[in-house]
Amino acid sequence: MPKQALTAALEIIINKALSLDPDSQANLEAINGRSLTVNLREFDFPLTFIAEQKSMLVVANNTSEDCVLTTSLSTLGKLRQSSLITSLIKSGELDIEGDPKIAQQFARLGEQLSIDWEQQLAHRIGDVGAYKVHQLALSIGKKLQFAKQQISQDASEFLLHEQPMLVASHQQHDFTLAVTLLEQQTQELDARLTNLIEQADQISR
Amino acid sequence: MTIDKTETTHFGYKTVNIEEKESMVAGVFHSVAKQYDVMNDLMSFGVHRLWKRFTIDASGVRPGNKVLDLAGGTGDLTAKFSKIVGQSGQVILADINSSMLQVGRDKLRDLGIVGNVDYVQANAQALPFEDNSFDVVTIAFGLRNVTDKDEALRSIYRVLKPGGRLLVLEFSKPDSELLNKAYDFYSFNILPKMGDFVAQDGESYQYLAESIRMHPDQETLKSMMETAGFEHATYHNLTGGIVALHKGYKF
Ligand SMILES: C[S@@+](CC[C@H](N)C(=O)[O-])C[C@H]1O[C@@H](n2cnc3c(N)ncnc32)[C@H](O)[C@@H]1O
Repeated sequence: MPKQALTAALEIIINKALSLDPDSQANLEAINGRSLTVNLREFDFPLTFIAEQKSMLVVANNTSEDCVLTTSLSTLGKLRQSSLITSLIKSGELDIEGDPKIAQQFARLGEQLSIDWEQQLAHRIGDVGAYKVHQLALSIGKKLQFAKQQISQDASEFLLHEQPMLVASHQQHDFTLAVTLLEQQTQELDARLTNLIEQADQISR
Repeated sequence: MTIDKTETTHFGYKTVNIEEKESMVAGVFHSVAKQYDVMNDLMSFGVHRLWKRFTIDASGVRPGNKVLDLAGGTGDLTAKFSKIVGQSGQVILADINSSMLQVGRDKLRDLGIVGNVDYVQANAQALPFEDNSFDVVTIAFGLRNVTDKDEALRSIYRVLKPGGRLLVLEFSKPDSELLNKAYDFYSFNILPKMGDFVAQDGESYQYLAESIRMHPDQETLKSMMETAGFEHATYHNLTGGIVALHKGYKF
């Protein structure tokens, strides 16, 4: 479920930024109840951002009926300059279905929050790894190259930072081994006990 | 189908009267309702949140849709659906158990989720809704508690609109022996103790572990869905098959 781990991480990062920046409230309210679907060329699945009164919901499907963007990560940053939009569409870097204003309002909020994605994602998924989850074989743009490596390493590590209760697959693996070992030891102990009891029986006879 | 009063069914590993099962299941959920969310996080190490996200993403739900979150309990799925369908849509949280509904209603109200959610006490086997009324029906970790699963599947089929779909998120059969073994150990030794410790209710969690093992495996549930009329029935294993998401359409 690497996609779901990614959307969970995005949601956590965005909502933390929203709560830390009270000035973002006005921009968020402007899009309350609206949604934006983004098809990034680098991803093989769509992301939808749904604005609520105080927070943002992120899901991995194309549910928005307000606005759908198809573009690349590098173009995303240029969106807030409305003067560029027409030329981006003409050059094929950007495709918009629905209301472009909505996309700009989301972009404005994004700009205001000025989340350091590189640092945030690295913080959440970085310096762990050890496991490969290959499902998310994406080629993310150069700028986020590091994220690609980290995401395709066990994406569930994301949640480890947020949810210390989540168990990593190596822990699960260790646990499985420990159970098997314990079972063997119990069987051995059981055999020895049986033996001892038999011996004791013979002696007492 | 008429139910013969002397017919029996399973309550966990015990064989009991059909009538008895319903009240025993009710007992379990009345007694776990308050600590239900905490236990969910503990029992699944938080992974149930990802399983539920996966279900939402796979549901194809859209703004304006009408969604039934059946056996919805404390409303995790309802909360997200409500945001996606928006004010032009509607979500019905249905559960057979009044305590679970109450906890769900309070929780969603505290989350500020009002307006497009309705709460209905209902049995999955006899849904009190008109034919062809929902775009999406979900039943998450609920089907295994239902006494007559075939009847429930038929009832769900009836209330779905043509083009609508059912998603069943449920514990299933792990696809590796090793995982199966660890999982067994966990469910029968650790889980009831945790239930005892956190919810002071080891018995209910013993029942949960047993009911999980008695639940039909992936292929069986898929063919049950087909028998009830669902088309394009498929399933997707999550976390090594500990959980599976089944999906089927009504056309
Ligand atoms: C394990 S909880 C799942 C709750 C929620 N869907 C979730 O995933 O967190 C199972 C729920 O199924 C409900 N339930 C059991 N039998 C039912 C039936 N025949 N019809 C409707 N709901 C039922 C119980 O009351 C309980 O709330």
